[in-house]
Amino acid sequence: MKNFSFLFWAYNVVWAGLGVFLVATWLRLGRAERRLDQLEKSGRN
Amino acid sequence: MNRSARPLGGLLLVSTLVAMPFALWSALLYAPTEQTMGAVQRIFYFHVPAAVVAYLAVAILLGSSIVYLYKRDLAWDDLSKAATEVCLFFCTLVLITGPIWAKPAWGTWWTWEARLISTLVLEILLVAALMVRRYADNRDLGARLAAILGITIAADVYVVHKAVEWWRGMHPQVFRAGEKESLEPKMRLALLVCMLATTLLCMLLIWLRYRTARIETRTEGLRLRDRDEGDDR
Repeated sequence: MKNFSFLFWAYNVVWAGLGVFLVATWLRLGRAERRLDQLEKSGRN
Repeated sequence: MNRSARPLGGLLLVSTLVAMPFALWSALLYAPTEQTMGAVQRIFYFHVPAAVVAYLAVAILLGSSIVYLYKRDLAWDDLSKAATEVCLFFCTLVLITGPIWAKPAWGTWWTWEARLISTLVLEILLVAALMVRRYADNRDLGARLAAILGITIAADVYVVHKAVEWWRGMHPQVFRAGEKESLEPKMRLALLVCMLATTLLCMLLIWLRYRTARIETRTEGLRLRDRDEGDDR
């Protein structure tokens, strides 16, 4: 096994999938934080 | 979460997404194949960075545990929880990649030597810290016990680090204080790139987990407030 380019690409496919998941999680967390901000504000009023 | 800190988190996300393909390239294509061990040595570029960032996560765990015990502010417990979970993830990676390397190098998947035992103890303590939080009677008690465990975990990490020096086991010692670097320049550079990418990934995961924990804590606060208001009515 002298060339690892197949492994490089295979791992990158996995990483791309994980990357999409991380970005999606990031966006969902932002939305949840904004909703919580609104709920806390409405509770105080 | 502090809003001014959000761009820093975004920067962390983008830099991790970019750094990881470079790390894979340097570990799998750029670094030369080691002459004695062959291809299996490449696991070193994943195993060592995972161990180093587990140390980093423990440093954050130790700091946040001490500050929590002093201030009793749940935000610090949230950070401590995030660091524990991420440390557990990387410690598990270390315990998986280690035996994969050990089988061809030592002829056995596992041996009861000091570095391996202390790392296994670290894994068990991390699980214990999460279980204590989950099953304690109330949040404050769970957080206090987990903070004490966090300090114990940091002490164990010192034992993990010193194990090879103190008990002279089979495990190779990659970094020795005051000794000249024995790695070939290309291998050293590949290791550094992998270390940087893994550190960024670790910080990103802690950041994401911390944000989630903050949301959980705030939601619980709202739930308790609604319950109290319901009781008043």
